[in-house]
Amino acid sequence: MTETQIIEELKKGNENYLKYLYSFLPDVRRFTRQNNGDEEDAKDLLQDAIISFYENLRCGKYSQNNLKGYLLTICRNKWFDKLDKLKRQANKIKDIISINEEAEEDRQFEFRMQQRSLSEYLQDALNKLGEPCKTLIEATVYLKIRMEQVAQDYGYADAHSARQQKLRCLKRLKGFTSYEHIINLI
Amino acid sequence: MEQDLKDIDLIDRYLNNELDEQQQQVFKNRYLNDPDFKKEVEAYQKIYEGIEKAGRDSLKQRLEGYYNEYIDKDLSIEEDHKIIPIGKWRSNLLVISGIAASVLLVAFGIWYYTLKETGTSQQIAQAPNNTKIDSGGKPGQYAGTKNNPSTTTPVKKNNPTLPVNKGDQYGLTTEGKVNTVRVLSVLRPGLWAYTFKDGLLSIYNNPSLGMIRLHVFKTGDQYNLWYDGDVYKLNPTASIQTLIKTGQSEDFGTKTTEAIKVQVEPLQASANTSDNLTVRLQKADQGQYFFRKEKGKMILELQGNFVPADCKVINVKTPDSHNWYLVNKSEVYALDEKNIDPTRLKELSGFASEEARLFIKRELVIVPVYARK
Repeated sequence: MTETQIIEELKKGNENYLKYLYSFLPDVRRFTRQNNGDEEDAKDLLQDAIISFYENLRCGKYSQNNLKGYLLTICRNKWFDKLDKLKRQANKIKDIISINEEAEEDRQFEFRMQQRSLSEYLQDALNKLGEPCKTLIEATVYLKIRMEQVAQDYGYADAHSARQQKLRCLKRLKGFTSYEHIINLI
Repeated sequence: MEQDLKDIDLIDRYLNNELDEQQQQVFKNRYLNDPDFKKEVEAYQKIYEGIEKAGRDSLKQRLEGYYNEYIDKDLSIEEDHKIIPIGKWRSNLLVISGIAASVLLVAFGIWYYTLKETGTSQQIAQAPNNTKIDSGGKPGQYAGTKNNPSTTTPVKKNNPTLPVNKGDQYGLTTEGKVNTVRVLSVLRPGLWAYTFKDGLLSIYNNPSLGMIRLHVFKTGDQYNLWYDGDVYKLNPTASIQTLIKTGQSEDFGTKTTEAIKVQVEPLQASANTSDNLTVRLQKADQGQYFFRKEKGKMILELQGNFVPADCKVINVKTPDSHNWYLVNKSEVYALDEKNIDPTRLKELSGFASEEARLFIKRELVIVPVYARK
């Protein structure tokens, strides 16, 4: 399997080719191991990097020719971001540790646990919506694939009719929910 | 377009940052003056946010599956040698295309040469065949030889009369030729043995020896090996000698500035060639094997992406059992004689399996020499 082959298949939406990208895991492991991280960190970093790569690729924003370097750079940046954040958090906690604040956080956490998340809510709504709407909405709203490409990939006459279909699907999706319900979901 | 679809269209363009200046003005006016429209925009904002989150979350879940698949294949988390990173393929491709280019160059050279010598097209056509350039296992397929049946080599792919295809009836694909692989046999536990030459001590038949418990000391000019309280004599030798115990001692003396290199050899280093098995190796992407018997002789049908010269099949005999292993460079596979149907090759990880470590060459260690009076 070559890099070009994998990218071509992924561009077509052949998502299971993403699994080949795990062959970079040893490189990420080496990096995290050298920087006080463990296997779990390596896995999370690579997963995040694969997601940004795939999102960029699908909406036409990926134009590199060194996939490994690209993914490893994302991993590096994410890791140092995370370390920075941890450092700042640690400082904050040292400075102001208030019992009240903790209680408030606990309360909010409970509230979140009781309710279904926005993500789950939309996942259910999309499932209820069914095909072809679900795929069309995922392709255009999540992956932000250009309408011309969508029309070509999913067999619409042209970009305009694909867009019309998208808008009708969105209207139906909105019909499953109410402003009052969705506005407070996190 | 229906009015509500028009609204969704406007909101969608707003959320995707696609509105031109005039449209932005229209949007702004409605957002500020029409509370229903404002609510609609906020709801869609949430819906879009939710679609992105849901999309990412379900992608994450699928990636989790791919990760587990990878980990299952890559049993040892610490050993990184199993899957070839894609990047390496490219360099392989470069090498391959490099080879292809040089073959072309040579072919062109020959063509040019023949052209100069004779100037006839007949000669040009025959040139590659006469000079026996191998294009990669497909003789008789040069354009030049096509017109000339007498020079076509009678070898064809999958010729049914060749033993090559024997594997077919057993469910293995049979592309390409069959290679034999060296078969070795070794007893375990065997007698400790060594070679000692040019400051390098190699130890055989004890691949799991613990380096911490090993010391080398000198009494006068005589080198000795100290292992766990036992003392063995070391004589300079290039051929493998059995280690002979000369006594016991708690003391191996004091450290000197001298040091020697110690190599603990893998089990196969002292194994003997064996003829109680014939191995038939064929090239394939997936590693598979099975055992069969033919005229009382045992045959191992093996498939995989292996270079025959790098492979060894090793029979490890212990007093109450014998086991088969395939060793390909630093990869070790256990082979079960009971498998008479094609079975996936299972790699033993050097990290997790003590068995596998018997066959993996250990690092060279430099140890100080002690001196005792």
